[in-house]
Amino acid sequence: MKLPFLDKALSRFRSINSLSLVRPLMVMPALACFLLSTGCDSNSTVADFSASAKTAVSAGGPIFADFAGTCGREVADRQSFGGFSTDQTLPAECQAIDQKAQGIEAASKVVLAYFDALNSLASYNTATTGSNFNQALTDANQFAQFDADRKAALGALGQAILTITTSGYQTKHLRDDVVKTDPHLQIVLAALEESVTGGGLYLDMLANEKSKLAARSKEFLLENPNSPAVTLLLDQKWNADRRSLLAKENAARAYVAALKAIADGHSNLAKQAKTINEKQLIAVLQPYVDQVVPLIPTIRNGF
Amino acid sequence: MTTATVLQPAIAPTAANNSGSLAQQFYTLSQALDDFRLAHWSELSPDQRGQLKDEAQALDTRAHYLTADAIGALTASIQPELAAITNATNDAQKTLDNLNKLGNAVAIATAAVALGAAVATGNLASVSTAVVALTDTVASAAAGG
Repeated sequence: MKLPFLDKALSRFRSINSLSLVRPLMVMPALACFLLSTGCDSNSTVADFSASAKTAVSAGGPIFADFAGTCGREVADRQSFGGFSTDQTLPAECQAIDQKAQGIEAASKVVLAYFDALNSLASYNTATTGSNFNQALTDANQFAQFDADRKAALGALGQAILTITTSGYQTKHLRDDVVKTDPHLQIVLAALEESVTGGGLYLDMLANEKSKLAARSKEFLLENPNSPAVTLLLDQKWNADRRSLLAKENAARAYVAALKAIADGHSNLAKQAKTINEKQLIAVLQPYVDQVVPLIPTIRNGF
Repeated sequence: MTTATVLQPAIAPTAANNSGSLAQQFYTLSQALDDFRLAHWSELSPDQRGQLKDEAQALDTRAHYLTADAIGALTASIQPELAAITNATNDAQKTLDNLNKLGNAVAIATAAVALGAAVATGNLASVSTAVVALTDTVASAAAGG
């Protein structure tokens, strides 16, 4: 494992060659601080990005259930007003949609699990590792007789090395995972998007449902003309139905916009993961986090 | 009122966009039939209205089956990608497990104690060696060794 930061730290450590035995022990906490300040937090931006992606993908879950939902509503609305059917059975064609939509929902859950794991890995607290390490160090110290100051200094240095190393390991794997996964993720995210915007798919189904609702009301008015009260009631119902469908449509469009931002952000991260520093990483990812987060309430409002 | 025969699609398109495009056309046709029926309401007999309505609904039903086909084809087309993403997810989980193991690695602590002992001697060469030993132990543990 290549650890340039450690070489740098060691060369700094070696440069204190004129110090007495006590001085190195005194500088250990300072060395620990130096070690800890060299990029330990570089994964937090990836954590923020994956957390926003996770939340947005999760919020879009009800869309897939509503594939069968919009189909069922359209079929139910074929019945004339006043039919008051209590039959809750999903028609065969909607059951077919439901079955297939579960497949695409499962795909979205794979993406969700990926961002969940990425988020866990990126937000893994190396300080916790260091804390656990300290307990092990205390146990191991039973075999060595150091005074309290030396033990404290030793703990600080050991913890710093452990934290830096685990952070490096964590970062390497994060980068490897992101680069390796990106081409596959792009295809799956595009498929999720297509399931919403593709011809004959979710948005078209919602548009058809809206058209059928309007036709049903118009038909009723043609069959029952000259009734202002009925017209008023139908108009109210139409407005309520239209608002509900509009919220679903807006949710679906926001979901698609979020998927695009996630795809672009992940792609940029994969392209630059191995070459950019922490500051650049934040500059690369933050705009995508800023795009995704405001879309989440709109996605949730649809269902 | 006549009842239109509802048929499953006679063709089985292999690509999602083929089925989806057909579904979209069927939805559009169905809406066009509704528009025609409502626009020519007074000119049509009740039987004709009923027939047009049934035909529109049959088109919707066919469109729904085509939509199901399109979603199925879309899902089938991304199975290799889903497998790859699942592998990466498992890899990230394994990395996390290794990090958790690191937190409890007594071997690392022992190496750190050795480093402390080296520091206590004041011999910088020994310190350097001990630091490298500690780093190697941590790296080995991180690699799952």
